[in-house]
Amino acid sequence: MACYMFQALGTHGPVLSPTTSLVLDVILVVAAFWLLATPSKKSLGDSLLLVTLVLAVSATRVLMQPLPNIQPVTVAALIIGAQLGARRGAAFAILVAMISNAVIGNGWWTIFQAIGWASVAVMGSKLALIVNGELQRSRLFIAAIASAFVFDLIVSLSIIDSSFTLLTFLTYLAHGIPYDLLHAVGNLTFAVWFGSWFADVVAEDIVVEEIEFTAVESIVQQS
Amino acid sequence: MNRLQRSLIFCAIFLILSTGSASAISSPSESDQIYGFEAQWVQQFDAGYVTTAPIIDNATIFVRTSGMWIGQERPQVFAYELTGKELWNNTNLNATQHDMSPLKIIEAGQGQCGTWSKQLIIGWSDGLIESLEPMTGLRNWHYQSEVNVWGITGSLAQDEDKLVAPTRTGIVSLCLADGTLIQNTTTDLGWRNGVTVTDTGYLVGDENGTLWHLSREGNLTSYPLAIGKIRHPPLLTNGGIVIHAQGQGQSTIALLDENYSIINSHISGSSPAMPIIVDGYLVTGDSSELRSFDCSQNCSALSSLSFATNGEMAMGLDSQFMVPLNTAQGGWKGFTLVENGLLEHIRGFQPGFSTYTTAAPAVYSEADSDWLVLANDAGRMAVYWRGLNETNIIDEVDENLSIDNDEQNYNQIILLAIFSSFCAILFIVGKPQQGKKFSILLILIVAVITIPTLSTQWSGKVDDLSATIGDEGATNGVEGEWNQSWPEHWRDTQVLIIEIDGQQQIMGGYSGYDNVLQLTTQAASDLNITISSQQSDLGTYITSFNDHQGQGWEFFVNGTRGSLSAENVVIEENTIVHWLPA
Repeated sequence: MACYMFQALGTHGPVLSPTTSLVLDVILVVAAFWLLATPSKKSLGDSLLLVTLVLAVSATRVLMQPLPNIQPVTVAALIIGAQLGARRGAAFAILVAMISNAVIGNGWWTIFQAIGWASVAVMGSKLALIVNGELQRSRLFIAAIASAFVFDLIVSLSIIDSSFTLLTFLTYLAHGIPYDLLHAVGNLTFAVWFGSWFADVVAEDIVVEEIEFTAVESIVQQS
Repeated sequence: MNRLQRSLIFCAIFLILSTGSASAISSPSESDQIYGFEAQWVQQFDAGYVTTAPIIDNATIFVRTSGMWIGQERPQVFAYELTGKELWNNTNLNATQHDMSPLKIIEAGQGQCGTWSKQLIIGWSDGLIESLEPMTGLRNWHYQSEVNVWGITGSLAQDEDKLVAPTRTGIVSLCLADGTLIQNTTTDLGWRNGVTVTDTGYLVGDENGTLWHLSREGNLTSYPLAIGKIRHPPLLTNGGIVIHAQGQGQSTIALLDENYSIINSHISGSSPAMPIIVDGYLVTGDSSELRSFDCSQNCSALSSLSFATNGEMAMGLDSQFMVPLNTAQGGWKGFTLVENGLLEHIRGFQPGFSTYTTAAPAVYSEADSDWLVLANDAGRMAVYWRGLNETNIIDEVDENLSIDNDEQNYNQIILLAIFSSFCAILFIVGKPQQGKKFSILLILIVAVITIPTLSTQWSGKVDDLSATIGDEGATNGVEGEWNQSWPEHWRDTQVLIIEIDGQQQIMGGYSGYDNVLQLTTQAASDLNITISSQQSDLGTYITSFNDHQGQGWEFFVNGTRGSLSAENVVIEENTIVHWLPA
């Protein structure tokens, strides 16, 4: 919705200087790697999988950019949050926002998009979308629809400046409702068509090394 | 890593490669054939638009760029060989307004005022009229006409040994041999008001809707038509003189008799294009439609097609006339007149990229080949070629591709009906899961198609509601209505206010500016205020006035917050634009 709302009101948020832009990028990268730096050992395959997911979803976002407010990242963040947890989901969201915006257009809004999709990932991790390894499709569909509005609301905050009153902001949000709905329908479509497949793709294999690592860690902690 | 995950990696690699391909496709590229024409070369000009048709003469292409210049760039005229080799270019450092006067080639000749060689005539927005030697770009002579904000913007004409030019403030005629001034008459202010040479003298219109006649003996007569601004050279038809005048939100196509009285008129859409005569019929265009008229007697309306064109139209190849489509999609469409002047759409020319288009194409035929030159508002020119022995193939293709908007809509409806039926069948045959999947896909497709249009209407409703509630917090102190303290001669004109450090800088009395950026640039210049701007995909944004950047700047048009970039907000006469720090 962001760019369409910008288009609707002709407002772009603050123009970033190169230094500010660099600082924001550094903050986002640090945040992503901090989130990825979990205490548990991850295999090379896991890392490669996450990198692949980030690149694949970023590329999909770029490819689908001509379609108005169709955001494949939202459902991906939701499912990755549900499968891999909030930390890796949020890291995924931040990296996708940065990488895809490097092609589509970087700016003040990138940080809000990163926060928006990270919030969606956290939402996915808390909603019990996957129970006993099974994707709860109905919950996913509802979450996919709701996450469109959550993400769009967070991104819309990027527009607020000193001239905005509550009424102005509400007017601004109202302008974007058709595109919020489009985002929701797009999310639902992704969830219906690719939700199960993507959840299977993202599902982690518990390898022997990880079991051993977890067991050793628990023994070390007990001793 | 399981099998699914491995396949994901392959998919990712494919997607990333596809992204590169998609970027390449969406980048301006004219490598495709269009209706038998093969792209030869492309020129992307560094800055500005191309808003007037390139011309081709003696296997040389001449093209000019235009724009509102607020940086270092300035308009240029280029000459190229058909192969793409640049012969020369000519920059006018003093021209800062839109240069929309068509380039003109004058053949060598002689007359009472002397002998002249072949020359390229350029009228500039800073009032300069230049005669150049076409192959070298060297100046033969020049004449500086009067400037009032801008100078020459309309088409010039040849009258035997004289060049007749519509200046900003009147008409001048110059000796083609050396540029000596022969006549200089003051009319009223004009814009893009080309001149027409008649048996008795010269005709030109102005921004007040007055038609002026200047006889060769120097007698000037005005004919107030009161139908809107006259922004094209009057057309001479068997039935009389035709004017397509621009009014407020609409236009008027008027036929005048020999006494310059209106004998017939038709109301049409807004922002008219330059009308042309095709096969003896009048063709007009505007933001709503393309129309044809029979002006052999009284200009009776013959046919119309939905279309949006606001620039030039011109004869193309294969007996078609070509019309630029001034929408985001852009491109050109070819039309013919069939069966007593009825319009028929033949084919479209969309050279690999989409952008607004106002310049007519240039065509050129030599021994065994045709050349087609297309240039658009993005400052991009593409040159196409075809061998004449391919004409028959092209004609076959044309018939198959003859479509119009109604047919496209019809096809969409048919496709949606088929898709819907498919979904229904899936449910009927006991595959509800598949049915649901395809149904949601159908809903998404319908939403993608309809929501941009619905959103525009929705935004209008939201704005109305917002205005009703009163968005006082954001618009406090905004000047949206006439202020009695302003000079009376500013009334019903374009007025600009820039509020810097709480001090209002006001300038008014402007006319003819089409958008907020144009008005702002000119008024700021007159107020001695410097502007910084930023280009974006959504247009040009003002980032500072007199180096005051603050948290950004926003503008209000007649009290309403600007809804697009300054470049994309169209303004009428009687408009108040107010800039405030955000």
